[in-house]
Order: sequence, then C-alpha cells, then structure tokens
Amino acid sequence: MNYYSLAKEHRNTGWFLHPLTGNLHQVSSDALSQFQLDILPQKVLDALQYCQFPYSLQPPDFERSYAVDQKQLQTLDNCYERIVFLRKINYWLVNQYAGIYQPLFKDSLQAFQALAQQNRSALSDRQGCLNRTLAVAKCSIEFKKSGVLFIGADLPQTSLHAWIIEKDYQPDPWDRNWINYLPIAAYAY
Amino acid sequence: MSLIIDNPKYTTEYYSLKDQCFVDQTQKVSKSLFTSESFAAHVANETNPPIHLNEYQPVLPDIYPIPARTKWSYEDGIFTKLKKNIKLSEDLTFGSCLKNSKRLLKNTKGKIAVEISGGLDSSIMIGALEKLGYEPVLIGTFSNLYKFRTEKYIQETIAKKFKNVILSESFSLQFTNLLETPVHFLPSYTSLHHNVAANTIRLLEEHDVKCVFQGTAFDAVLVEAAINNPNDLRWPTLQDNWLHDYVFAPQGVAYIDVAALSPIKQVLLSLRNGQAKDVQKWWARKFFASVIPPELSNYAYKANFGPLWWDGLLSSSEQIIQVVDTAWKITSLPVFENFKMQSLFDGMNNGAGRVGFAMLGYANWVHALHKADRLVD
Repeated sequence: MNYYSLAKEHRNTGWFLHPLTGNLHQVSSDALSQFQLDILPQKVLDALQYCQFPYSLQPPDFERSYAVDQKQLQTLDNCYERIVFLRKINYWLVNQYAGIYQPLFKDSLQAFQALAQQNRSALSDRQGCLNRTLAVAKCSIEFKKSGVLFIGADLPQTSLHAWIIEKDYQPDPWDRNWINYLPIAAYAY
Repeated sequence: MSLIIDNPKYTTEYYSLKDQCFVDQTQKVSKSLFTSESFAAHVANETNPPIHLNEYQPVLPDIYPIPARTKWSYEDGIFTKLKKNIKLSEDLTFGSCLKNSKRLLKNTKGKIAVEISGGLDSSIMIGALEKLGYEPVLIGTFSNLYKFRTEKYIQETIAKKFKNVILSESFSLQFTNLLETPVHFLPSYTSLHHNVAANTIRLLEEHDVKCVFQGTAFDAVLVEAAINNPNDLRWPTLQDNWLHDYVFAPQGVAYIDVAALSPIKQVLLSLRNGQAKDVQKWWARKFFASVIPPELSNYAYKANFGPLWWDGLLSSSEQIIQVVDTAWKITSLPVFENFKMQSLFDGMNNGAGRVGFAMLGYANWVHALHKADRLVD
C-alpha cells in the first residue's frame, strides 16, 4: 500500500504523521507545505469527500450475514497476529506487511465481521483500530479496488484513530468514533 | 414504620433522614463535613450515576436529593418511588405520540425555546413542534472544529426554516466563569457549565421565553434496552435538574428535559418496548424520519465533545486553579493539594476524564459556598 500524507494545519500549527514511525508530529505552518502532496489519487480524493460529508455515505447493510469458513478465519487470525507482532517492531514494517495483498473476503464489511467473530471489534478492543484496519485492508478484495485506510488525529487532543472508507460506505459496524478524527494520512493500493 | 417523602415543588429538594424533614438549603455548612468519605461519595455518584435513590451515596450525612414532583416511601433502608411510575401502553403510533405532545404543550406558558445542537434529539423536538404548528426560538452554539461538521450542517439546514434563531460560536464554552457559580447545596458536575445556561437566558431575554426545551434524557429513553423496564432508567428517576434549579428557575424560566417528562417517556418506551440497546438510535431515526432532516434518518454519527471541554479548560485555567486552591485551603483534602491543570488533560486522554471533573465539581461547590459566606468551622 502507498502512503499519502494529508498534513493539515490546525490553529496555526502544522500536523503530520511520520510514515516511518506512525507518530504525530507538529511543525510550523510555514513548513507544512513540504509534508503535503500536490496530487492525490482520485479514490483518496473521493474517500476524503465522504469523510468531510459523512451523511453522504451509504449506510452499509450491517444485518447481512456471510458464510465464513474456518480456513478463512484461521488465515485472518494468522495475519492479525503477525500484524500485532510486527507493529511492536516497527510501524513502517507492519505497513509493508499489510500491503502484501492476501484476498480472503469479498469486501471490508465481511472482513470486519470475521474479525468480530474472533472478538476483535471496536466494541471489545478500542485501541486495536490500526491492527484491525491493516488486517482488513490486506484481506479485502473490494478494498484493493476502492478502499482507503485513513489515520486521523483528534485535535487539539492528540489521540489517533484508523478507519476505512470503501466505495461509498464506512464498513466497520462497530466504529462510531472515526467521525471525530481529522484525516492526516491515507494508505491505499 | 415507613416515612413518606413528598416533594411537590418543581425544583429538587434535599431530605435529611436523620431529622426526617427537608433541609433549609440556605443553611450554613460545617467545614468538618468535607471529609474523604464525602468526596469519595461524590466521585462515586458522578462516575457511576445512580439509577435509583437507593444507589445514591450521601455527600452530606443522611441527606438525599429528592427530584422535583416525586413522592417516595422509606422503610428498612429502602426508598420506593410512589408517584410518576411509568405504565406501558400498546397500539401507540406516531400520531398518538404527537397528540400526547400537543396536550402537554397546552400547559406551557409563554414562548418556547429549543436548544439546537445539530444532533438527533434536538432535531426531533424541533421537528415535532413544527409539525404541531409551533414556531420555537432556536438557540445553540456551533463549532468550527472539524468533528462538528455534521452538527453545523444540520443546524444550518434547520435554521433556514425558522424566524428566530440564535447561533453563536462562543457563548457556551464549558468551565467558563466558575468563580461566579451560583451557590448550591450539593456538588454537581453540571455546576461547571452554569455559564452556558446563564448565557442562554441572557440571549433569550428579548424573546420573552418561559420554557427552554432540552433533550438530555433522550440518551436514555432512545438508547437503553426497553424490555418491560420503564422505571429502571436513570431519567427521570434521578434526573439532573441542576441548571433548572440554580440558573433558570431563579429567573422565572423552566428548563425542561423533554424526554424525562412522564407522558413523553411513557410513549417512547411503550413504542420501543421489546427492543435491545440501540446505541445509534436507529429506531428513532426511522420513527421520526418525517420530521427530521434525511441526513439524520439515513446516517448515524456521533461527535464527542472532548475538544470543547479541552478548549474550555484551557481558557479558564486561571479560575480553575483558584477554585481548587480555595478548596484545598478550606478542606485540606489531599486530592486538592498541588493541583496541576495537566492532571485534567491527562485524565481526558486516558479515559479518566469524569474523575477529574468530579474533583473539579466538588471544589467548585466548596468555592461557591465559601464565596457566599455559607461555611462555618
């Protein structure tokens, strides 16, 4: 997956996410431009529009149930555990691993629901948003086509959050917090 | 033998089990009552709000807040609510819901104002009033922070349809002007927001408003599991009436938590009966779809108010430090010693925000009593 900086100014201070460490950094507003990109892919621009106007998103069919077999769940479990392990070593490394596409699920909603079956949802693990979204991005067929993984900051507080916009919906049924975060970085195939 | 405790007033009254009577709220408070036990009771009440009076932890020995217009019995250490218990009905519809609201509104004197937040609850109230032919004054604060982009959009959408709209970016900054908090009988987190209410009254002066509708209790009535348990919800059993009691009522204005009114609660819980917990209020979004903007019925979102509180703490740091310092000098409670603002910010970042605000609420209570010369040794 490619990293796209969405560095932003908030109250006369520049904020950006370091692609190697995943840390939130502050810079002067004057220096912000060196962390901003002139051109972004269309799917990132479209997803950003949905972030800006969340009520234009389609509510996904959260009631839909999928038949997920044991093999899929086991592979997903392996991916997730590797993500957790690699993240302890290095933020950049875990992104490289997540970017090695491994199609398991039709779309990200199906992947999030499979994770929830393993007790890995925003309900049970609020801190695990990056692990979950990386696992979903790695394993969702639709994500590769239309998905964007965002990392946002809750400014002026400095907590971070990761979420996905895929096609025209936000596919994590249990994530109610993404709307509070200003996107400062995006990852997409 | 059981005690009967009846509060027919429209404000909260405070009952002493020891003296078996309501207490005079203007009486002086002994500094010796500011103990670690008293502080711990307050923190327990604020961090895990009691649903029933039986779960309330007395902050002053044996003294209990009796909500407005409620009657209780007390026997063998147990409070039992005798009045305003909800009985569920069947076959209710959207039409009967409106009819009930209209009947209630007939008893309302003067003009009505509604707090417009841009969220679902206030939009339901405004939409229902509009449907019934009322033209309320809309009052609210907006924020240009990114996270409030949807609220701002909804506020603007609704505001276009009304003549009298007061929207201001700054007037409701939280924690403002704590040094001027009205003196109050027991500590309350809500006291930290007294200035929001004071500004609301000031801005409504020219409109001759006698009732301000707000929607706090919708968060219980529209969210909690409704399975034949209408009297097990926090509201209105122990609703928080602080702003009404200490800011609005003294100015002759009623601050009404609409969903806590028994007839409204009865209708909504009857309609929802049998439903599981509905955190995103999907039932309400669909049921009230005809009176709210489509953006609210098709999509569920939730902004958290942390940044507004954060900004309020920052802009009021000096007064907050003064309030806590006063509390330390008067009470000598260790929790107030060497207070640093950073502890409140850290609490907000690590999920312990309410504990910090409970501390501040207690300090604000002590400060307000001290300022009003209501403390004795």
